[in-house]
Amino acid sequence: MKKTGNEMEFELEGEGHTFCNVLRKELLNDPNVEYAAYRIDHPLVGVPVFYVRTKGKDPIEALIDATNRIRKSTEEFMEKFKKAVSEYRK
Amino acid sequence: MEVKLLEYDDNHVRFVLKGSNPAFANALRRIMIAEVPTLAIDEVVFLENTSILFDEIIAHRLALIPLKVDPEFIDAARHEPSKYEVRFYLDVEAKDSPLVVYSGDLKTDDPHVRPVSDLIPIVKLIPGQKLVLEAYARIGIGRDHAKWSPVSACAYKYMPIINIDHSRCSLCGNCVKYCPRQVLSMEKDRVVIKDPLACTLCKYCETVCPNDAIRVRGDDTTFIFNVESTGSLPPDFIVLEAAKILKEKCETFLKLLKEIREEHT
Amino acid sequence: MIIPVRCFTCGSLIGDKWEEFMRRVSQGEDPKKVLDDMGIKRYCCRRMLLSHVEIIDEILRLEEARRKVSEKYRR
Repeated sequence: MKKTGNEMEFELEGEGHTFCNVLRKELLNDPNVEYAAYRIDHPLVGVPVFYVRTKGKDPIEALIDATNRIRKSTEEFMEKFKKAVSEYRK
Repeated sequence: MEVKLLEYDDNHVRFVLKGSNPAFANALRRIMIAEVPTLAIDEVVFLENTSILFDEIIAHRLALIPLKVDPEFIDAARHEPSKYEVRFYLDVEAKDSPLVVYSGDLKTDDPHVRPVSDLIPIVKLIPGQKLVLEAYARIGIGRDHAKWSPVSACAYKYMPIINIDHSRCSLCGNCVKYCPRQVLSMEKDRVVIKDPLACTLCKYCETVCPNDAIRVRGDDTTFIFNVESTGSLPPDFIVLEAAKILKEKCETFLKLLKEIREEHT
Repeated sequence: MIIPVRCFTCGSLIGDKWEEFMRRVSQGEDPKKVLDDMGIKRYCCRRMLLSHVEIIDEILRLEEARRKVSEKYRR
């Protein structure tokens, strides 16, 4: 992991496109984030390397906020899905 | 965000997810395919095999048999997958006439686990041939081997948006005639969209329209999900479990981030 | 050789459907109707049954023949 001011680069071991892509997308929804991207060097053995650059906000805070937003929408989805299933069963 | 179920039965569920984004839909899909755990035969010990199939082939066939498990068991076992192991045994001999060995011949001590179907042929034996083996089923995920994937078909598509410009439409009927999914129909003096959910966004109607009056686009905030289970787990459980796993991923990542934040201050 | 347990492409279970499919088709039913009836809707799964050639019975006959020959030579 490397961090300098408003830039941050880190490896996300044990993860792939599944989580990195939602994270990237969610980071870009933050107006304080200038740039967010990741790369996976090898499709089978590569470890994703994530890069975030903000417009002054601490990148860790930006990541925490983005992850919280994903968690919230996942919770919302679970709730809505459960409701939809019970409605369908009626 | 809105969720609406379209179809739901024992092994498949079709639902519309509204007000989301492709990244989220894709994460869910990927987790359902590769990260929701199930039980599958992982190790086979052959005591006797005089059948005409090699040990490896039989082991492979056994591994592919979907095993019906109690969803709660999977949910509990997810965090310590190595703790769970279910033993199966098979002891068949053809005596006087040829016989087929079926998945139903697999016996187990665990009453909560059984093959999805008892009618899957494993091998055929002629008189004198014998198959005796012990198999161990373990918990795993689709990323390691497809046998552990709980879904067969699992995909989503964008909600189709079909726009018909009635001022340009000459009522030639081409779009109605050529649509492979019969999405459109002709009613008196206009073309109407009969079944928008069936549209696969192939845009053939655009191609055959001489007046450029029809436009088909996908709405990338609304998705039609189709999840088909192999039978090992109920389809709605698979979807919920995938969401749960995504949530846990967020929580683990948050924990790591907070640790890093501590270090930096 | 013997019917695969799952569809090669999508992974849905088809092994248990072979015997019913074969029985009904050999009784003169239309394969298309049988497949629709059994709920096999995707063409990946349909081809698994339609294009399958069950040769295990022939291999078993060869095995029987081989066994007889080897018994004869043993004597």
